[in-house]
Amino acid sequence: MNPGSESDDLDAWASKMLHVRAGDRRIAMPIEVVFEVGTPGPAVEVPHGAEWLHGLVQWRGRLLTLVDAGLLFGLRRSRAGKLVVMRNLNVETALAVDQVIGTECPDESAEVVLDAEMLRSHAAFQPGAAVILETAPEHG
Amino acid sequence: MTHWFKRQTSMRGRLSILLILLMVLPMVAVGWFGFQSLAAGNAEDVGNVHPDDIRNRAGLRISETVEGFEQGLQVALLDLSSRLVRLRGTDAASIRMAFGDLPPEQQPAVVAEMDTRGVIKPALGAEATAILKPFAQQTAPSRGYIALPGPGTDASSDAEQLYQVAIEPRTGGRAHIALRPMGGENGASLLSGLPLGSTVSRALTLANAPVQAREMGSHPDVGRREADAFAVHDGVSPEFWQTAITMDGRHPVHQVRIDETFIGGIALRDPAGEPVGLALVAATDHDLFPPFGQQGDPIAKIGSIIGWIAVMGVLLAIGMGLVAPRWVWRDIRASTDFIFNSVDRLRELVRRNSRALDEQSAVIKNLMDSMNSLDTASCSIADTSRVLAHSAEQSAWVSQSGNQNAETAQRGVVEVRDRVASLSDQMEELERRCAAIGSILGFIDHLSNETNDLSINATIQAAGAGGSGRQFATVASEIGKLADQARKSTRDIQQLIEQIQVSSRTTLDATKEGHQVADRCLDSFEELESAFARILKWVEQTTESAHGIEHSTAQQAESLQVVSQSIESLEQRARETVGNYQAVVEAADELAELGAEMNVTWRVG
Repeated sequence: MNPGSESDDLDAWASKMLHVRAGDRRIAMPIEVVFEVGTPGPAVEVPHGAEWLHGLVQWRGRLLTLVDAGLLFGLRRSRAGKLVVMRNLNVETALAVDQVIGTECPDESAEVVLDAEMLRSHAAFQPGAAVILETAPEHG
Repeated sequence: MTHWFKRQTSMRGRLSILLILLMVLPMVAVGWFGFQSLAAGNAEDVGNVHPDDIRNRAGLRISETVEGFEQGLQVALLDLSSRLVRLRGTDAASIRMAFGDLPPEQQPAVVAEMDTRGVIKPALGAEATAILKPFAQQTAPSRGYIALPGPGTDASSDAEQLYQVAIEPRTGGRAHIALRPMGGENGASLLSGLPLGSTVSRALTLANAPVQAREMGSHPDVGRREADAFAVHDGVSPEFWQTAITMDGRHPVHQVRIDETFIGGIALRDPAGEPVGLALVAATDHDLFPPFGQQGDPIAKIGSIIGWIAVMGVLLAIGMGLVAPRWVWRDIRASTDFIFNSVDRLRELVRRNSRALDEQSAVIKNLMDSMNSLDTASCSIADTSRVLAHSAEQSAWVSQSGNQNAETAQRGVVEVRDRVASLSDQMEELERRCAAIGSILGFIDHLSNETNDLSINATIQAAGAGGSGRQFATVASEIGKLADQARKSTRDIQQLIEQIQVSSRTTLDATKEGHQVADRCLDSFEELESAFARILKWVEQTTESAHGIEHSTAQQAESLQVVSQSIESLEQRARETVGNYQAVVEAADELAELGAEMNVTWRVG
């Protein structure tokens, strides 16, 4: 890193992309839409859901919609070895991916490059994309 | 007649008859001479003596006979007296000792003892006691005849009976008395035992008593005949008695002649000398002088017997001479035919035996050849057996050496198997440790993943923090790199571990296979050892059998030598037998010629 161009480095650092592998694709997405990565627990299948809807998974006390990134942005279902919790989208959701490669600068290694706008406008991340049955509120 | 005799007899038969006649005629002459001498002697005895002379001679002979009779009775009385001297007492044992060897009919009827008081035991009748007591009280022994009523001690019968009595005084006025009855069986036994001849009648009678048949002895020799002889002369008895008792000691016998019968009598006296009975003898002239035979010359009698035998022999010889040739000729003819047939059969048998001997010789020759071949074979077998025994001994040595090598190899295999087993254990332990390392590596990989996720999340959070999070993002990036390197290293280690595991599994499989191979090898070694043991045993048996065969073949060779010698001896005997058969045939031919000559000589056929 060159100290003389600290602002450029900061921009570069801020524009880093999160590279993941899902299905048969290497997908790059902007860090700003990523909340955290982790290892998912067992997912509950949603009956009559979309094909890319992997299911519902409990994550840190919340119920997230788990979307298969392989089918959503590629041709093959991912193994859902890792999940990427998304933010700044219309709904709280997470992507099921095979592997989290790391945060890297934008390059040409990614086969699918996602941006925030595209993700926000994607149907999969719109309200009602996943049918979630209301659960009875817990009464202390 | 001459022609008939010649036709019926052969020359030898006629010669035999002539020889018999020559032998028998002297014997006939001797017999004729003896017969003539016997007839002449009897004619002289009977025909040339005067009847008075005969009567005188008969009287003298009857007198001698009566005296002999009385002397015989005296001898019996002396025997009774001498036995009484040996009497020790009147108990049964003493009586049996003194009189036991006498015949039962000559036993004394009474053996009694008179004590110092004059009492006789066993008790006799009063009359008998009165008669005996005076004699018993004398100091000298006495003997004689007495007449007592009743038979012995039986007083129920009044008839008197004649007894021989012997009295032997003892010390202190005692005396032993023995009474033997002379009538019945006792008298008959005594009379039959006297040497008077069977043709003279004898009897004993009491004083003045007529001679009755009941008083005669009932012995067969002196039975009915005497009774008849004396009973006829009852009327003369009293006079005869009176005369007889008056005869003095020089001429004690009184005799009378009635018709052809002489009767002689002699008195029987008691111990005091008083007559109590008579001993009678009766005989006819015929009894005293038999007309022929008894007084004949013994040489003449023997000559007469020989002469009669010779006459019978002559007649028998003539008959046999006429009849026997016919029988003999037939027998000779049958015998010669039998001889001819036997000779023919003998020739046939000799021919058969000769053929059999020829065949036997051929068989013996073949047998000799076989024996020689067998001997050669036995020698070959013996040589082969020796070679076999030598080879078997070498095989035994090789088997023992192989067995020792096999045992050495077996011990090596056992050691290899044990080491392989130890290696297998070590490989299994290595497998377990690799598995443990893999487990640890998995946990490290999990930690690396988590660390990587944390570094990524830190980077994401640092990006959200803006400029203040830049350093933090750098640290997060370095942590992520370290985590990535750790993950890579973990994967490399994992690969190495996996390679080690693959190698260890391969080694383990190889060790297991080696262990199995070692086990199979040990099994093979055990089988090999067993096989070597069997081979050694077989070799020992083969050696023993080879030695046995060698020994047996040696014995067989010796036996073959003995058999060969026996066969040669047998062949020699066969040749000798052939020669003997030839001699037998020649002897048979000579026998046949002799039979033919005999047929011609005896005019047979």
